[in-house]
Amino acid sequence: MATLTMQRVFDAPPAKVFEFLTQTENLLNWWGPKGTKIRDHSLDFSKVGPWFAVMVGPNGGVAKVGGDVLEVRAPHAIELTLRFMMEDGFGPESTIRFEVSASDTGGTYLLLTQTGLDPEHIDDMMKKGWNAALLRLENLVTLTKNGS
Amino acid sequence: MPDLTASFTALGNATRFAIVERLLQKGELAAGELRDVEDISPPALSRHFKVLLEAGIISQRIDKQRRLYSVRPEAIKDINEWAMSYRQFWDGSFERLSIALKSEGR
Repeated sequence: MATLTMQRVFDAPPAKVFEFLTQTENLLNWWGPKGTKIRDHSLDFSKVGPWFAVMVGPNGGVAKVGGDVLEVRAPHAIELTLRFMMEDGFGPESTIRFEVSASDTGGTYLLLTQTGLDPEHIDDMMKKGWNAALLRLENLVTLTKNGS
Repeated sequence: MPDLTASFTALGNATRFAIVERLLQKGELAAGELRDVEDISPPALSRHFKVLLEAGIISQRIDKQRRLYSVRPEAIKDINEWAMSYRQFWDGSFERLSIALKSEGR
């Protein structure tokens, strides 16, 4: 499976970061890139169950995302599914896992792992290193753009 | 919505990926110039071209006796945007999370 991992260090204790990752009022302040506003929502990652958010982008574009909170292990980890609901149906579902731990510097280390970024029937292909291949493609595309 | 599943399936094969990679680097090439990407028979190579053509990743043009292949830029753009979108989504979100945590601490 294609997996996206991202790591960040935040200058706040793990318990605080965990609150921000799970509680509605905090999620509303950061979920989505800059300029995103969340309109309707059922956004509580502190308990297992379904969730959704209607996001309005800076240019007025609307995206509905949703899924299920699968696991909450306070104050260490949460796991949830996510899919974008497109005009013509559902986008592919992926699973997101946030893990927080204390960093050496007194802050918090956040690890995001997003798996299943592809339809099921191409699983086999994913095992052949699609992720690495995709990165190479991205690089090539960048090179091509710069070169022309 | 482009059919990305077809694109991914087509590119999930090492030989086909090598063909696309070569075309991205060199631009348009004749079938004969792609024969050395892998040690396979011409009919096998033709089948790979067919899969890539059907998935819309490459296009074909006939010039006299030669079949010329090139990558369709929009196909790669679609794949790229799809793959990039989540990274950008989280990048932007984490930036805001960092700001939100800071303002909380004050």
